[in-house]
Amino acid sequence: MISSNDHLKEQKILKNIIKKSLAFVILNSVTHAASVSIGGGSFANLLDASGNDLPTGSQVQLGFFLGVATSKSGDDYTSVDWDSFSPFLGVGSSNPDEVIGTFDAGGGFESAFQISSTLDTDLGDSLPLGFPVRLGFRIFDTTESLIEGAAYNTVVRDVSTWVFNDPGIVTNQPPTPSISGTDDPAMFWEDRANPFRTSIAIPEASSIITLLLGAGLFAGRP
Amino acid sequence: MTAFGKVTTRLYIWNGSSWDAYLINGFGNWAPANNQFGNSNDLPIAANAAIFVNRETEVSGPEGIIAAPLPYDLLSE
Repeated sequence: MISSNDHLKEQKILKNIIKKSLAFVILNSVTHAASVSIGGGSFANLLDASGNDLPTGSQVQLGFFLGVATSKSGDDYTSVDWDSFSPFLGVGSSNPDEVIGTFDAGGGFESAFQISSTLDTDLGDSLPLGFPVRLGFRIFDTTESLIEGAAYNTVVRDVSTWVFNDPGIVTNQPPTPSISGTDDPAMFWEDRANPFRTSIAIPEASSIITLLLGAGLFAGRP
Repeated sequence: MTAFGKVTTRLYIWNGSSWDAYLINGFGNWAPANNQFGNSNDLPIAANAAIFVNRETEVSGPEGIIAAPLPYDLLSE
């Protein structure tokens, strides 16, 4: 038979477990105070859906894949994994002033880009909420600061320089996500049939409504 | 810097407060990671500078990177 004392003890233990779990969750989601310089970019031209060079100033984001293990190959990414992309550099990111854009570097690189950002949490910059995370680039076919609705593609590489480790630990070297060429077996694109092309189009709202109406009419048939 | 390594090589030089990263760019030159179209081939590295030379490693599957912390604190005397 369980006494009321035992019941109280069980409740206390349960409360402690919940408190400790909450503290663990909170500690895990706290951004560490840190400063980190991130460099990298692309030594390959980025293209629109038709295969033409993206114009200078086309928007690029650097982000991480929230909840995706760093050991998971980009080859195995699901649509949910790609959708977990959380940008922290570039327009529309958590550090929107850190704009990344394509430019003409000459020498055959007419639509390349590079990143040069120093993020300091003491100055209000934000970092991923946990480490390590796998980094990726999302490239948009627009030069506008409003990227919603623009065609895009996303890329990851299965290499250590694309893993962002906790910058609060001084022996962790900063990530240097870089695309060094077009022929790279460790590189995976969200639209794998169209690497380097911003080929993923966002359907317009009117198209979605038409589709929904069509589906509704179809469902209403006897 | 002498011309060693390949595009998968990264060189990190401690500047006293953080790591300056260098890579070999598409032109075959050493360049700062934050200015990868630049050229740092003639960059002198100070004597006794702390450096890391890394090579990109696979992170997926059984070939995944194994991270091990250094057994000492770089900032301590």
